[in-house]
Amino acid sequence: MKKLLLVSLCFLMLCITQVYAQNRTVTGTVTSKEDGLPIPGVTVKVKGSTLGAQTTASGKFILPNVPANATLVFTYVGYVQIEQAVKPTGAIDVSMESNNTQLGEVVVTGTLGRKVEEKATGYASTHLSGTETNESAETNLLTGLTGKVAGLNVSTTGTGVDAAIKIDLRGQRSINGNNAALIVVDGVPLPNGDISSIDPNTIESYDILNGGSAGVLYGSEASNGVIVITTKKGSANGKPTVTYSNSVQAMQPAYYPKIQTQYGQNGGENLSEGGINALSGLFQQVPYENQLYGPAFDGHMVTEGAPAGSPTGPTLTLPYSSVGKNPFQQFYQTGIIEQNNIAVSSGNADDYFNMSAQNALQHGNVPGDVNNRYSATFKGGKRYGIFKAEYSLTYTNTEVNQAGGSYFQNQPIAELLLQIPANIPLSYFKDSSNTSLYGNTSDFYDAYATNPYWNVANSRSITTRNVLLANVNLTLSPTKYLDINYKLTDNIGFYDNRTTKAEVDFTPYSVKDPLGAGNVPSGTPGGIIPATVSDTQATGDGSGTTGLSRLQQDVIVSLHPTLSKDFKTNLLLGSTIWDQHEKFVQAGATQLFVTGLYNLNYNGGTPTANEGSTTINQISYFGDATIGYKDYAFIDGSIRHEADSRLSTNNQNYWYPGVSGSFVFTDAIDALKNNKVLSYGKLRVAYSITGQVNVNAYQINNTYSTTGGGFPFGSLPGLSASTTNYTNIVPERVTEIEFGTELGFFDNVIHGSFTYYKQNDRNQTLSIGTSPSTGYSAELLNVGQLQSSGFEAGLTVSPLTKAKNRVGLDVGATLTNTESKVISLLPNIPQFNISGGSGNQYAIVGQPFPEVKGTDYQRDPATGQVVVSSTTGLPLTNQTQIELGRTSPEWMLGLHADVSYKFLSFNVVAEYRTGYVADYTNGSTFVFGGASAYTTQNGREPGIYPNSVYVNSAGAYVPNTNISTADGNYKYWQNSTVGGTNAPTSPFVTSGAFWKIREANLGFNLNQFVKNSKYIKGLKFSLTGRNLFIWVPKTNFWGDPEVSGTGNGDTSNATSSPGLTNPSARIFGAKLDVTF
Amino acid sequence: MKKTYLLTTIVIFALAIAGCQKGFLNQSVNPNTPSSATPQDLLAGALQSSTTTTNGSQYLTFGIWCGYFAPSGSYVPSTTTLTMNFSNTSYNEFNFYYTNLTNYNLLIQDGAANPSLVNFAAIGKIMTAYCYEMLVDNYNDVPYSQALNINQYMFPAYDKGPAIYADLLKQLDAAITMVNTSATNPGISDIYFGGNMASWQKFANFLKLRIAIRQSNLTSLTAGLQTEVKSTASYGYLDDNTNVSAQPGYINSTFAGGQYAPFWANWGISAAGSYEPDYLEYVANNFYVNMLVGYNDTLRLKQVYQPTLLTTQKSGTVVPDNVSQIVGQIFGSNTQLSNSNTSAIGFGLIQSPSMAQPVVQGSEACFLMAEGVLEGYVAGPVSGAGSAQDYYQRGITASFKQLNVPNYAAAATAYYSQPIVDVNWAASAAAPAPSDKVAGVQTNANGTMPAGTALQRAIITQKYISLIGFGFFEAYNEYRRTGMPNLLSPSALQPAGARTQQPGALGTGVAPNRIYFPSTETTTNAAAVAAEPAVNPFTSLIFWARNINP
Repeated sequence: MKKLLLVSLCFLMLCITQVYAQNRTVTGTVTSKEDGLPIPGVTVKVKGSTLGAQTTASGKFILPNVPANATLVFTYVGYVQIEQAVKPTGAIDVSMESNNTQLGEVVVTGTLGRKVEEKATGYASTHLSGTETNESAETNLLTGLTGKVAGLNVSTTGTGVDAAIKIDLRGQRSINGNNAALIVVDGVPLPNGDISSIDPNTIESYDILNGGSAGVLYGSEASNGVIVITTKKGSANGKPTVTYSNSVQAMQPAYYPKIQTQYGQNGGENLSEGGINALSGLFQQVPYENQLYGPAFDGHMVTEGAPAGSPTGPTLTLPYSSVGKNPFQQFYQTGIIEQNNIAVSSGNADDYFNMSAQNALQHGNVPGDVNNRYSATFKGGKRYGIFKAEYSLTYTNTEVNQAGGSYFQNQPIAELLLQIPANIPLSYFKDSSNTSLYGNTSDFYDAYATNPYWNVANSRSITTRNVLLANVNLTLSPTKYLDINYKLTDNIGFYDNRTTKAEVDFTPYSVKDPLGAGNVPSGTPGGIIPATVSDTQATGDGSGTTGLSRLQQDVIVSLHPTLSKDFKTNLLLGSTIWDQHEKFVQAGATQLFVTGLYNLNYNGGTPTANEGSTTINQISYFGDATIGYKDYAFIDGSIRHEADSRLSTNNQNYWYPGVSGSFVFTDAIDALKNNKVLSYGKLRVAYSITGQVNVNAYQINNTYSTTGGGFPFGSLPGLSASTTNYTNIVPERVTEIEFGTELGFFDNVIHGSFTYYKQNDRNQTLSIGTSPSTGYSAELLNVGQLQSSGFEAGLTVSPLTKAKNRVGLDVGATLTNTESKVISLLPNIPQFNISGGSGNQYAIVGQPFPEVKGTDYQRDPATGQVVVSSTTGLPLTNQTQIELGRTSPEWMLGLHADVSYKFLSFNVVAEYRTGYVADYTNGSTFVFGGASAYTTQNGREPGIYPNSVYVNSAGAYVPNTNISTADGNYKYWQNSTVGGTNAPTSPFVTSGAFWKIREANLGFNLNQFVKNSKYIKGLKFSLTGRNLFIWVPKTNFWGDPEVSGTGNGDTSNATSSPGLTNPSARIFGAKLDVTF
Repeated sequence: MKKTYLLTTIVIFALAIAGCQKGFLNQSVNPNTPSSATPQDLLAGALQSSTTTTNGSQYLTFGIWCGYFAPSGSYVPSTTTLTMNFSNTSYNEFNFYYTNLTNYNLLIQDGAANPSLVNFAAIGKIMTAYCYEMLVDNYNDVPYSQALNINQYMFPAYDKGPAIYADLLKQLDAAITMVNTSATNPGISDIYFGGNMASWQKFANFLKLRIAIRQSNLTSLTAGLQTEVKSTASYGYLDDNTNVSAQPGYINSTFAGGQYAPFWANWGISAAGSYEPDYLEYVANNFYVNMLVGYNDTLRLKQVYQPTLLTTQKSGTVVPDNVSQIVGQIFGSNTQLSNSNTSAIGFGLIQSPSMAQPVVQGSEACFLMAEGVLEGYVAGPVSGAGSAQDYYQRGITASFKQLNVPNYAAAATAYYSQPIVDVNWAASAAAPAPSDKVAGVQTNANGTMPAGTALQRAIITQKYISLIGFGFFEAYNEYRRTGMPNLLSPSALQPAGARTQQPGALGTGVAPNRIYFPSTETTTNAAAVAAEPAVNPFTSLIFWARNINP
């Protein structure tokens, strides 16, 4: 063993010492220019030698034997390198400025928490600090990544105070399985359901590892890429540090479907019932209607609904003109998000204790909707010689209280709002109690829809999530060449939901249907809709009835023997065992008879009860070997064996291998060294085979389930065979190859990276729809292949550094291209319908994935013009389903700029996505009801369908100049092929392109003003903004294309298919950070 | 160093072995759903599924096309139904038959493996025939010989309707003789007959008779079918005493999605006090109202529809009655009446949430027997008990009884004693035979289809009246087979003020002769569907049917 050479796998001890004569010992402190706080772990090297040290947790360093005229080089991740001549006496204190352009030296946290220098990685990765991603005071720890990482797509499923997010890297690989990136916190996978329970302020850094190659060691869970999150440890200077931050933000409802404010109510009633004016023969306003096909607003006084309370009661009378705001704008309020954080930390990297606590309180856009999260984290570590022990404990309590559906047809608020004409001020209905004149359930003006404020007051869903994330991490380092690490983690959560609806009592007057409209009260002959309650309790990850808790044990042995001066090696062997579990019990009552008491014991009918549980176990072994040659060529090979309980005994053992390499040619080739233009250059390549088990527990054997429709009747049970035939499934298998380069120009002022990848996912686990005549409507099979490829490019330009120019400027862009193609499915099965979203999304052989398929108008094959009927003038539908476009963005462009001047800093992030369509199935609902601005395009007048042709008697396509439709109003929009349920799919599939200003933050670093304060060490104030503006194409009448899925937590692979959700919001506010 | 390696290896393996405790990776026990089912459980479940299908809302569409109900003017349950602008996603009668056939197939397999379960297998065979008859009547050709065998045929080919019909008769013969009274009796799991296997044999005979008469237009087959039906005549037939209704123990409870009788679940009032969707979304059809008024059949009319909520009528046909006013909606009319101005479904149909659910009503069985005797499929005297007239009148009485008409026996006698053609047997017999009103009497490979007789017209007309509610599909089948009742036609359904904006709407005087193959077939079994003749709902016919469009 060579005594002078130490090699470390971690950044903690990357120092090599040699003995020089006539030298002095240099000491000093390194602080950060931004906040003046010490920086631990800075590498201090004597230029031109191998002599070096690192700063301690308090930012101090001691470097013995420094030659008299030496220059010290200070380097640290994310900071500008500093060179400082050694002075004859005194401490050398330097202040470093942050900078992201340091290449090669950047330390990324790779698989299993290993810290590796960027130059040694053979795969694409992005390192972001917790500060960078939390400038606009996010409440979710992953939304701050949006627009900043090439290859990363963060989309929201649902809206409101409890919106979930879906995060994928390099698009989608699995047609029907999981495509979500694996989130790893401090080395252990985090159940997806627990993402929302982590306080973003506790995060030190993010490392986004885009491909499967990076995650081979995580095995089947990492085929979708990995986001490695490192939480904060220790304080900077060894002394206790207290930081407090507060942010207050407004959440303004911003992105709605376009709603018309020109026409009032009419649903096509006939003459005899008042829909048509007997004298003029024109449509007139119908005071109880929920469809908005009435005449244009003209300002005359109209009545709404029946007389309140009795035939002689007052009638809501108001002008027939828009109140200025459409019902969506009137209803949704500006929400408030307030966050308070306090963190206490002390110690250094070896011996530390941290405590942090947060409260994040959100008042949503829907009145009364609240998300209140409390979290507390305790972390500590202690080193005893060769032994080190660490623990971490995070407890989060979240309570979400949201409005639910209506008492009639369980309609969500957005669906109720689209039935209200713009001439009605909602202020009449804010009070929905029985004492309200017009807002009560009996006298609400609309015969067929209900008061949205009733949902707010009386239909509630209250969810409590208690999540505990705990781990113990023990490390034994008996020699310099060996570390043995043992880790035990338990992530467990408790979910409790209570959904209640209050009793509705209609007056006998309203049940008698005073206007003869067939109103909602008359549908309840007894006049009473009893109150209901449903309770669900689940033990799992705390996110609901499907999230699984995780108990995991890792044993990792790391060997890093030094074989020779030129070769650095690292060998890692390990084993992971995990157990995931979930159990839920649901109980409910639908006929509660004591007003206001939501208790199952007071139920007039039969209560409902359900339960279920899932256990998944996995045992794996893995090994990894890295060889580095002269610090410029690296090769890494890894292999993992897994056994998974979801698979049959014959199939449950399988292997995943991976190999990657990198080559820093600017270091390796003498001619390129110290080149002024090309300052850094690296090539990398990686190949891996990963895959995942995309079958649920117990899903390989056929089962029977209770027959629908009332079983068991007393003691008589009824069972039916499952409608899916299960077969013996093996894991999906993803082979991935990627090539990439990192380049730095002009002393790294310009930094570019480029990655090309190709993935082939074989053995897709698909529940292939089969003809029910086979006896089953689906068969779960391993079949088909999806290929995805693309490139990820990043460019950062830092022309001005604050240190040199007083003005710092940093601009950058990320560009992501994602292509995919379904290579094969089964013979005879050219397409596969994926579940979720609108139900219109498919995997189609030869097409990108996912693809919307649906019907379109008949078109002239030569010109693409719509063909109309030669008799009615209405467009004709082509019943054959056609492909209407992919729903995943082909191109994503992220732009960011950071400017700093003196104590001011400003950053902005914009994002553009294009090359895809959004499938707004609910567009037809907005058209059916007449609420959408789409229905006002022709002024509701009959006319010639724009740019159409018809087929003449000779069979030729003739431009339509004379065949007008008979109607331009409800029959045209609701009953014809133009809108409503008879319309083809295509009018509601529009470009999903958008530009969004994701973030804009203006920071005031007030450190200099508190410099002399005794207690306050740092002070920062910022104005923050998120999702400030959106621009969409004119053809998009339907809303925010980014919102996906039918509701919160829709984890299906159907993308860009917004449901009837509340609007998405623009968030802006202020943030204050104080350090004591 | 070597020691360290050794230590490491030991640690890893020790921990791994600890994890490998027996069962850690074995998940053969599913805690959530059973992996096997007894024949009793399967039988009860499968019969309930069949009951739900027959009385389900999906068959309501046929009830609209036959003039029983019409979409409400206050709700828009389906613009597709209103405009007839339908596609292959509009109606699907295919999937639930086959997914339930799996259960009957399992019963047949159980019986084959274990002789003591032969009665379950016999019921499985009879119900399989019942389901396939429905499938053929909907789709003409369906997978049969390659069906229900996913491991061998993932894409089952279609068999021709006539061939399936022929094989069903053989299967029913086999089922009848398979019954063994000494084998295990299904008991209460048989929610149709409570384990009375003789009743199942009668049900099988009823199905044989129905399949035979369904092909009455194919005159070249008639003689053979008559022989085939008679071969098992000794086991008896369904009639007003023995008929099919399900009663697993329906009660007024919301448990497990609702324990109501299936018809009540769609049309009745939930235990929580609200009308079920069909109650509000579909109302009386003006055609049926007028027809029953014309036959002086107000007693049944008041049972099938309620009086309107309003006392002052705005338009429509008003039945003068001391207590009630019944108004029907003109289907597809431009002048849609709101719910308050039209009649909702009556309490003779939605009797109670715990009512036994008719699957084959006594009236339907009797009218089939009447035609069977009349046309020589069933031996019977010319008059008296067992004659066609006897079955005809018993059918009317059974219908009055089913609809809870007060003093039903006397009321029914009074009704059919009126000297009205198509009501009174003698009056009908004396009437001239109907000229075949169906345009261009259909011919096919089996010969020329005959025009009906006057008595057949009376039988089918009364059968039509009795099938409201629990026999929408059978009424549509009989209409397509016979063109009767003669009053029923697309233009009669919608006499004036036609909605003309849709190509193919009823207002243009055409009605669907069949439905498309479902879109699921075109996506999952495309090649097999493509091998079938293209379907045009307005012109394609089921092999035994006439064209109902003039």
